[in-house]
Amino acid sequence: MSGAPSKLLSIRGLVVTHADHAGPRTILSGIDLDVHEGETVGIVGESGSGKSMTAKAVMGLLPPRVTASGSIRFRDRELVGAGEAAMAGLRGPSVSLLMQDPFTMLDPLMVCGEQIVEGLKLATPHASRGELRAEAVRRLAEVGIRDPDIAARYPFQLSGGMRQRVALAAALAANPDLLIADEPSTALDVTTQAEILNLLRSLQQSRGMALLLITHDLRVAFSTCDRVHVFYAGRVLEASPAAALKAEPLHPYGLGLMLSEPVLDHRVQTLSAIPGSVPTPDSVANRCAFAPRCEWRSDICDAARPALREAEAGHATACVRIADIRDAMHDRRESRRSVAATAIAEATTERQLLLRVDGANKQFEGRRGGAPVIALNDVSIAIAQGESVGLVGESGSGKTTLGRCIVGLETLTSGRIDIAGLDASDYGRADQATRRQLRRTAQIVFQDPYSSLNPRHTIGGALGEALAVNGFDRSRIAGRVAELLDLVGLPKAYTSRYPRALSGGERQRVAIARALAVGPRLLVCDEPVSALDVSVQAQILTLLRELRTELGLSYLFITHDLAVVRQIVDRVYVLYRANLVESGPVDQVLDAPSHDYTRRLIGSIPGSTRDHHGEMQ
Amino acid sequence: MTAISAPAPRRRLLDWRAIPLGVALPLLYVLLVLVLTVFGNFMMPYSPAAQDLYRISAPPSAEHWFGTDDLGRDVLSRLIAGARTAIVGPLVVALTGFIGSSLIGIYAGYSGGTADNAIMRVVDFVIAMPSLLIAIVLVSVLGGGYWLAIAVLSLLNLPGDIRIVRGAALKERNLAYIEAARAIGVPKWRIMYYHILPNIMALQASNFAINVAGSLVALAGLAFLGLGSELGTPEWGSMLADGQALLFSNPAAALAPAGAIILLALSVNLVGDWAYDRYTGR
Repeated sequence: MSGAPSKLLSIRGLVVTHADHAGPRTILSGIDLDVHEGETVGIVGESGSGKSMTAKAVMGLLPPRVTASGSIRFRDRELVGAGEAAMAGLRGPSVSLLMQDPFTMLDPLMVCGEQIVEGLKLATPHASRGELRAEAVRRLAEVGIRDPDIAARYPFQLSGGMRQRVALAAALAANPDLLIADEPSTALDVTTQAEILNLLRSLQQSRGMALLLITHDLRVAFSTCDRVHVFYAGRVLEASPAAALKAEPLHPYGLGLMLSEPVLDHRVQTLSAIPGSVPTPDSVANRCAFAPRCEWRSDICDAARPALREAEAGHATACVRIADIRDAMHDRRESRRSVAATAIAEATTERQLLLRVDGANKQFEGRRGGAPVIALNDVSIAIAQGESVGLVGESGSGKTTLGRCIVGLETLTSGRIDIAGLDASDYGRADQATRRQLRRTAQIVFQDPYSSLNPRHTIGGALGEALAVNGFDRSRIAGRVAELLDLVGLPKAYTSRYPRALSGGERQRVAIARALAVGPRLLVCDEPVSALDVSVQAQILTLLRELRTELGLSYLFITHDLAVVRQIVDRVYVLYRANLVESGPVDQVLDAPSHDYTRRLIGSIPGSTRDHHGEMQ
Repeated sequence: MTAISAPAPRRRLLDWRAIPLGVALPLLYVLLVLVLTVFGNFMMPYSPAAQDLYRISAPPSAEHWFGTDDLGRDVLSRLIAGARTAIVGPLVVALTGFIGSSLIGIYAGYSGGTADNAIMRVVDFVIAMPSLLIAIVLVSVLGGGYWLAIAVLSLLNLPGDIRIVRGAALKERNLAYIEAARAIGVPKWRIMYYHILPNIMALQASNFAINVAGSLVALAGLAFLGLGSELGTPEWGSMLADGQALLFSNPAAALAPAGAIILLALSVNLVGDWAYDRYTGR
């Protein structure tokens, strides 16, 4: 931050409500937030915290039936209640928005250069076509695209990272004073994420513009922002300079969020999760929003809604008990340093092999007669009975394809898969009994719990079906369903519920229960936590850890998240563009990677988790 | 807004107070027509065939609310008697469309490959033909008749439904819950009719309404051209055709059946739209 920066954006008491036939519903209930000239401010929150709605309110882009009250001042202008014409004049030259998904943000029928020219016209209305085109090429170079030919390409011809660069150039075309970036790196691969964040940082500095960065990832906020606001259930629970928050969070939620993030550099004894899930703003209207999930809750927390006040210079918290619990919170952070040993299964051959994949190749037909896409190129892996193995790589590396082949959702082009001594190379050719036996041995948990459960079937129906189609005695199904729910930590009453009444974490528990219904020995987990909120991720990881000890399961854990890998697997395979590039015990691969790609993967994680806890300071 | 875990047991199927007036009135009208198809015989003031020879082509009066036609028959009674023909045919056409498209459309969409290709080429072929024209030619060549008209319309209507349902099934097929069902070993037929069908019911419901309304008008059109029921059977389309000539003596003889047809088609569509929105939770 520079000497005496003036206020650029000032939000006071912002309330956003959504009114439909079910009555009004609060989305934001009283937000205060300032952004000064040239400053980077972070909004950190989980889904349902209202962080994206804040961005939309500032941009004047609220969806239908959603209304804002309170005050949003940009320089000297009040934006709440400003007409569409006034807002339209502001968007572009004053405030601009960069969204999460670069593919939906760019017009698919417009070449990249034109997307930028649209914004340039606002800034320089009298420039000629030729000047605008030349400027667009310069702007592409500013975001690191040096090849002028890219200006003539369509968005679908570019990679995700390139698209996000073009989207960024388009958002900056009218030279905004404030750029709001809503999860700008979330949809991208880890290595690309780091590039985009670095780019945002350097552009913010070279242009001297203010940046409001919205993210669910504390690590991203810490590595990029001057100040951070922690959002929860439509309000701000903590606001602080990034360094101070990183050193010591002063709200139990901030602490919980920090501790929920899987540690990258060592395995912890117990993963700490925040119990429960995020409440709706209305259900916690007149008390501390976090109280229902807080272990330090007392009556005072439920008495009234705590105001955000400074506990230390510049560091404000909405926790009324902070003076009492500060020491306890400190101890909690310390306890996280204990290192758990990773059980390393050196010689897998000595133990009984459960899964063996030999020289797996998989090709997909190219689009419209193009060259075939190689998803797997001579990949061999093995998993011993009771072992947890990670399969790491970015999107397009083939990791998901391998997992799908193992459970018979795809068939290998060539190569061999053996599961518990049975040939699982081609489920289609296997006879009925073998197929059933294979399904009883290997099951899969999918990434997105929102789409992996049939919305028209009850939880009990979904679990019962998994049992019934595998020849389970019908009279005992109800009992077994209750057992399964208990196993994954859900109450029996959930049997008659529909998926829409469940939170993301609860749905993923149901998906795990369904996979476990037939009593498999190998569970293929395809990014099982990446669609979940940070505070819930740890719950699911803990559940998977417990299930492994309880049931003696083997895991093939498919993920892009190295911190998750560190916490849950013994050995790891690294896939890069369909090829297996590295494998070994998890500590060895993560601490002393031998392949260049693995090194890059580790290097691109924002900040090391170790310095989260102030050890480096 | 993902983490809403309020206790939400089964919603009540229908709360009468939640129905907006713009839906309630059409719904009442559709129900009235349905009641008339069953109990119409007890509710009509005269026999639909009875002639009042003193009052031929008479305008509406206290005795004959909608007046009489050129043979002195009571228009209201004939209107009520015609309700059955008016609604049964469209229901049969829509039901054929619903069952046929559910069976064939989901199968084609979910299976893909050769089966899908073969089915869809036949569908394309039928859709490419001008269906009402074909119906007119076929029905007149085969000698007319109510059930023949219904059968021909049902068959010509089906391919369009198959195409719509196939598209919906194709979309559902790629969702993770279908993959999950496959991974757990759910048989193909069960995935198609137990997993996919409930998820495209909203589409089917609105499609059903569109089919009822469309074939109501088409059947009335065939009857208007004299290709419906045999002569003398009370039918809204043929009543409209016969009533045309009486426009200056008893306008109600033409306007009443025309109004009944239009209102029913409109009502069914409105109710169908509303049902779709409710089912999809909009």
